[in-house]
Amino acid sequence: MSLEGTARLRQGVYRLLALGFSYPSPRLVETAAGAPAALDAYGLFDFSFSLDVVEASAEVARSSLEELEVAYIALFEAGLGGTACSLFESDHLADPRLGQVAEVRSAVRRTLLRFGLTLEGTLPDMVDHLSTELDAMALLCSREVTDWATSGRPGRSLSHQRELFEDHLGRWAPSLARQVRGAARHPAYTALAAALAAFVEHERQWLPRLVETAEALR
Amino acid sequence: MTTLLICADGWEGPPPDLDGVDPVLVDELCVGSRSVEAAIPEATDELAVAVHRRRVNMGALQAGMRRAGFDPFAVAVVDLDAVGTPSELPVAVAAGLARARAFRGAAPEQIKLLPSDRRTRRGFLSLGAPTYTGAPRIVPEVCAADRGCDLCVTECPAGALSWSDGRVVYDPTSCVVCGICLTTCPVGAVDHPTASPAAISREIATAVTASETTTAIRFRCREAVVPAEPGWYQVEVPCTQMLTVGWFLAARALGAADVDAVPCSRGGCTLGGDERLAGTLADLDTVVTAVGSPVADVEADDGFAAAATTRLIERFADPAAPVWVELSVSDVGSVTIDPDACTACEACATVCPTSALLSTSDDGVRITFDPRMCVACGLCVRVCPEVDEGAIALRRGFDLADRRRGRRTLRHDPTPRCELCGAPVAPASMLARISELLGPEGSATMALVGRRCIDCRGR
Repeated sequence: MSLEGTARLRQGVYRLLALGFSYPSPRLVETAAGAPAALDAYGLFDFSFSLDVVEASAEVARSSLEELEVAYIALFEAGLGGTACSLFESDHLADPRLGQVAEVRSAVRRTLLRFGLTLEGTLPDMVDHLSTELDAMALLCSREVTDWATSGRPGRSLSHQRELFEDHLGRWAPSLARQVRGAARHPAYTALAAALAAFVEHERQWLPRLVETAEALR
Repeated sequence: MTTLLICADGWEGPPPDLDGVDPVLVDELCVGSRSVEAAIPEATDELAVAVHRRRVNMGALQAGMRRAGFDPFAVAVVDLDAVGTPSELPVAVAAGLARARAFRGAAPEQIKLLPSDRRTRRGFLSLGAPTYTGAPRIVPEVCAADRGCDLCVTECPAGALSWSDGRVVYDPTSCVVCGICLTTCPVGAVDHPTASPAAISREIATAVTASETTTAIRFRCREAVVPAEPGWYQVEVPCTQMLTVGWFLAARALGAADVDAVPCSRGGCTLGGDERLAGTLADLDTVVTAVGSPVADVEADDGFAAAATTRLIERFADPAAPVWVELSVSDVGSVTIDPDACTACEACATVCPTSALLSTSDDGVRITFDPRMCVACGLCVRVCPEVDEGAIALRRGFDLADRRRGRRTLRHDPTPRCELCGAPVAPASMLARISELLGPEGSATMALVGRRCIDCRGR
């Protein structure tokens, strides 16, 4: 298991989860169907989260797009007095009475900007959406892949990943995953939430080890 | 179908004949992961592996299990090096399967990545498959932290637990998965996916009953590699420092002919010494010498659950036992209160996690104590405001005759009633103590405080 391969694997899992928590599309079902085989090439089964990722991929792949859309809307978009589960970081970490929503969103935006990541013009409200943060992590992993391939070192991409994870994604994704598991009526979202929880908890332990490795190589 | 994969390296002869288990010899099982998936028959719904612990690549083996669709925590792992003769293998497999069947799943935060030993530059550039072990989880609904209990926090050798605002906070990064929190918790609030009391109990019970000969139980640290010894079955635990007298007694009560423990073999325990285990073993000797072995009637799980030692001692029935058996580290104790120094503030009873100390109100404050529930945690002593005056004392040990007396009153203090509404004011000795602290200058205040309840003092 090479470090470049590990970065590719993590990039793939982040991308899969980002698609899984975006509005369902044919691309999600297609990606999920091929994900286990594609990720296996980079050592998926070496990691504890692999069974959850395989299960989530299988559940998504065997669902129709219509089923996924209905389940997604019921979980994340519809509901009297608010959605069953919010996919926005600010809804989990900010107290709206204290005006912290904008604060949390700008903190995410600033972090992404520092790493050279911006959202397309039509999507500014999505800055603290789960899929945005997962996609950002996937992009940083992709930079790490390039760094390993070109210089044999991970550059700053690993420390950027750790920062984004520890300051944002890692702080709220586990509680969101618990909420989704409690509220989901469709097995695809129960499984996606389990995969998200397993992967995020693994990243919490794995990222510091990768950073330590990178520092030792300097 | 249950399949047992056996590392063929060093195996002589055909696969063993096992009741209800389909054995498969696998080349290089200890060093490769791809071989696991290929070797498993399609109809397999339960898996066990027999490997050489000394040389197995556990990360690769776990990866192979996952590739084959099995959660490694639900797979029985038998150490061939710990099995004395091929004839003992069926017992080890049956016991391993019993333990694995007790696995009830692990939350994501209970899967702990073990540290890697690789430190060379080449090692950094290519990592081996990581190894995982089960990690504890505090169940908040059961935890007594809201009553002030912080025993797991004070006992954790890695500083992975902290007490904050009435709850215990767990830091998985610092946790070394020693399991001490599991056996320290007096209320059973620590859930451990791979070393649960149910799993250990079932493994031992199966090992003892499946064997045709007498079986002794040897608890072994997960880091230790211990050569096989005929008649001894090895039970892996996260760390031998987690063991209590209760766990040893429970193994005896399940039918083990003898018990002992072997700490890790890295030149001493990595958690800072084996003193804790040594103390526990000394206490075990004291208990068994004083009162004999427990009768073999422990129900499954019971002996390994929270506060097991004190409950197990209750099963001894030797009337000739000494009056007082002094112990050094064990979770059995007796509390006394000096009525001349105690102010009946009830702090001891409020904090007691097992309710060995209870406070009730009738015509005053009544603090009762049941030695059968005391785990000698010492929280009562720590919170007592009059401890320097000798108000409360804890002795580690037990008196069988005294235990049979059950709950008794340690302190009863009358409570004056409010002259206006009739509600209780405060324990008389507490009022006396406050008066003593205030001195003559406070006599006017005390005249009011002593006669009226807190609600009526402003009237």
